[in-house]
Amino acid sequence: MNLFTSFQISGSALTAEKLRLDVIAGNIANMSTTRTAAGGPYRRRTVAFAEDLAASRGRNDSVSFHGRGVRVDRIYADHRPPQLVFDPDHPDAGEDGYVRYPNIELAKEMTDMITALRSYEANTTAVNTAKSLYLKALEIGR
Amino acid sequence: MEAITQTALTAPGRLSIRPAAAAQGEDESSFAGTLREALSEVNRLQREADQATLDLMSGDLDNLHQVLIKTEEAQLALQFTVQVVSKVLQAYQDISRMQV
Repeated sequence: MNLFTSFQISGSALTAEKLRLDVIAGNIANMSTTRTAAGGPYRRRTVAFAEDLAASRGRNDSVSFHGRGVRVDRIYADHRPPQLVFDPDHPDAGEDGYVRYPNIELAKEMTDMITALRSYEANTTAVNTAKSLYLKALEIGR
Repeated sequence: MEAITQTALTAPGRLSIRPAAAAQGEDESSFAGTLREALSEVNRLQREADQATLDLMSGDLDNLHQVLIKTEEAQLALQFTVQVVSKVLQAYQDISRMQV
């Protein structure tokens, strides 16, 4: 049904922003995690979004709109070097006495979190606007 | 919802100018066929919304906004259909009141 396309588009964006918030929450939760399954400290993760296009592209005319919203393309690990803290008593300290902590900056995570929240808000506004548009259509002939 | 759909599904047969048998047949371009399609779509949306609400209550759902969007969709689809049906009923009544 094409009637509620704008709902679906905004809905996909809401799902994506929710996932982004989940990833940021994971980053904050693992701010001082020194052990992971892959070995070494936790690495900061970021999400990459991709435009979600309809399966059938159809004709390439500029009038038709084939977007279906956004999807999460991948979640990738940040490869910046870990922070080194001298603490020889730590069980995960290296030979040199330094512990490798994740490369997470709390200020950056906080700003990312606010960005995710604001994007979510913007998309709920889009949903509400679509709803009032449909309700306006219902007023025709009333 | 089930009751509404059932009664509404049987109603267009009476509204249709064609005989009931023809309206139920393969002629999907008739008004009754179109309305039946629209109603089954509304019914599908209602069922999806019901399922999403159930999933939310049983904790199977990870996205709250999906429930709200689905219920919104179902509500709007029902309102649209009701509007169309009442318009058609009004036209039918206008014609039946016509002096011959």
